[in-house]
Amino acid sequence: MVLEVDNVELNFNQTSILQGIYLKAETQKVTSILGRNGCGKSSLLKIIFGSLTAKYSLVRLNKNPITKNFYRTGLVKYLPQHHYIPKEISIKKAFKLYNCSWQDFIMDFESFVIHENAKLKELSGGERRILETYLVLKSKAKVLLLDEPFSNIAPLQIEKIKQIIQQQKKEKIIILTDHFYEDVLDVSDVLYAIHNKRTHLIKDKNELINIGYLNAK
Amino acid sequence: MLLKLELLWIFYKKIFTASLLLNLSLYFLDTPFAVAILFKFLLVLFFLVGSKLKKNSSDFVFYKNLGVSTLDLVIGSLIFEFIGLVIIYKLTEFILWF
Repeated sequence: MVLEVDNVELNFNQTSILQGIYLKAETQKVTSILGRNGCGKSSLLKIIFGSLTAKYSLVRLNKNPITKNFYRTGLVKYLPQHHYIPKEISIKKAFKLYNCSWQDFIMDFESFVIHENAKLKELSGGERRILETYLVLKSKAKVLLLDEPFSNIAPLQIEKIKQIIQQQKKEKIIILTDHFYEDVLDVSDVLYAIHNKRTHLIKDKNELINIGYLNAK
Repeated sequence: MLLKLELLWIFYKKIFTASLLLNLSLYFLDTPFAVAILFKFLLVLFFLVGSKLKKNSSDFVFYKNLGVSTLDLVIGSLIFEFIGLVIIYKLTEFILWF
């Protein structure tokens, strides 16, 4: 499966955020986007997902244009930067709705076993983030959009999330963005950076220095 | 369809109790049914806009991930409001008559 995002132009009021964006992502390759704060990474994910309307945008899946909001197709799941599951919901209910196995989850994250009958509001912020990330990763969707999947998570848990990403990429298209660039580089097969409102395909870490994302030291 | 209904209910549940109390108040204040409906519709829209503007709001991603749009949530909530109002108006009328 191949997902292409083409010709994206986004303005907020009179300010141009994204212009002439192109991005290609496919199964078996994790595609990542790096860029400074406010450069439009999250907006790009929202445009692909269909929750943000750009002035122009074209999303194609296997060369077929997606003509309605992508989320309406049931093929895509999006992990936003902030908590997205209502906190009043029980963990069991969340797993049922996202069609995921609790048993598989506690094999990966044993410390959650005590929370089986809890509600999301009883979890800490980090635990809630892990659970929300896991549900998106393990859902049956074919395209996963992950906005900061490594933020607010302990290093050991980040390693586990990275392992799951590596497993899931075999049959899913994964596009992610995060400021933990070493983790991003570690997990990525294809890397883009947004600079001057456009995407740049990055082939060497030095290019991140050239575009001013990393320091030369 | 059942999943969609369940999601609409999860969303509407947040305002269910307040809505029920408001319906009863509207009835006992002798508010005409049409005015009550209009009032409730405006209230639902206000609630939705408020949720969307909330800081760090993830813009109903939970529902969208499961294929339910903001428009579905608006329409679903309005239908629940309508049903709730009809039940309260008719049921209270019946109880008082009895």
